[in-house]
Amino acid sequence: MINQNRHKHGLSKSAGFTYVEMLVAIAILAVCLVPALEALRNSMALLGIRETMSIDNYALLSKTEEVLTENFTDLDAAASAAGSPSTPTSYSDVFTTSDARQLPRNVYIWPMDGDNADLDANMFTGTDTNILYIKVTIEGTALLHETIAIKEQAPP
Amino acid sequence: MINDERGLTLAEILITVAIAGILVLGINGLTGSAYEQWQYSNERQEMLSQGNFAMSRIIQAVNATRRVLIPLVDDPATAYSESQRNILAVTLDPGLDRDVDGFADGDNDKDGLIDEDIPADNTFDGLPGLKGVDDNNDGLVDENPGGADFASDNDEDGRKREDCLNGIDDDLDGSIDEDLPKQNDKVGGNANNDFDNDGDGRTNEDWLDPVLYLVSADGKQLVERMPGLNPIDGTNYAEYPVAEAERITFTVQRLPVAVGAQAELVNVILLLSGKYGGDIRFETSLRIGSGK
Repeated sequence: MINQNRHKHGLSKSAGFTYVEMLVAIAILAVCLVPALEALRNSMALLGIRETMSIDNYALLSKTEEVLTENFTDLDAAASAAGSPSTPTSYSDVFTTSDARQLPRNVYIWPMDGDNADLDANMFTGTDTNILYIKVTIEGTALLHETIAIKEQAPP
Repeated sequence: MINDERGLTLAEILITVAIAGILVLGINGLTGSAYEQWQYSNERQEMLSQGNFAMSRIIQAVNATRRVLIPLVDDPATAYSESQRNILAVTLDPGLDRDVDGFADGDNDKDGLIDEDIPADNTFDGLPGLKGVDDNNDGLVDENPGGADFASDNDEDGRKREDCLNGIDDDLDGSIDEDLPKQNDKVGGNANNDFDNDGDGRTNEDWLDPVLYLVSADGKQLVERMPGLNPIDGTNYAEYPVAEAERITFTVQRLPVAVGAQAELVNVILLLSGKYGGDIRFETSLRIGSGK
């Protein structure tokens, strides 16, 4: 009965997809594949970024820890030699990572206005001499570690 | 009359099979490499998490400790390196109170003081040095120097109780206060007899509680050894993995520091190698006891 109807309406049983239908189907598939592949590529890239940031963070921590073992007088002298809070001190170096990247680690040291006695809310314009602000950065990235060093007081 | 029951010719089938074969090969290659990539990135993701967790444990332990037990400082009299090891041992964070009983876990006698009455067997585990560990990197584990008090050779160098608690390298082996006698400070009394260091009427009641990080025998785990809660001696501890990978390499080096330095440094390198290729290396220097 169905076959009879199909013949009646001029339809051939062996008719498949037309060329245009196939083109449209392939185009739809291709359009769907693009964001899927893009998502895959992005997740791969994100993993790489996470790895890089992790390595860089340990490089920063390492430098911060090394700087903090130095005695206060030497850190203060390095700050004076740098001349400004935005000039890298002599503790700066270039670190070669395990994935063979050269990381310029900049160490900024400057006397810190611990009590803000001048009320200017500027941490670099005080008269406190016992606190140093320390910032370690990796040039070209937003990664940074900030800390302070406090002068050891002589025992009473 | 149209004959609808005509089948496919051999040529048609062959061509179809050939085309299908080519398609299947292509798809198989694509899914195969995608699967490999998925396995690789999954493993790296896992290694990254494991490594970061292990490093956070190590950083916390080193920052908080009062004393690094291993690596020792290089002894100029030996041909092997005491300062570069595949094991890290520090004393327990003096502020850690895991059972929240109001006393630090390192305060064995719960008197509010930590490590104030250290036995001649400094870790109170009945063996020279740390139990099951080659303390000085001479290739021997818990070697017996002889004598009834053999466990009081705390650095496993064959000598007993030769470096007392005074901040000085008494035995000139590079390390300071690493092999404490029974009377820890060796002042006013016989250092070889049990001594009540804190004058509370009891002896040897507060020993050093070591925390260790070492690679398991199969090389696939970084293991953390922590003292048990309320231990009766130094043999009560638990070990569990803090990182797992196809292969783990762990290196700890005690770094030389300049005269007048604020703290000592250790350099820690944790290398995790994956089954599907590629390593992730975690490396940092840490100040000993900087968190206190």
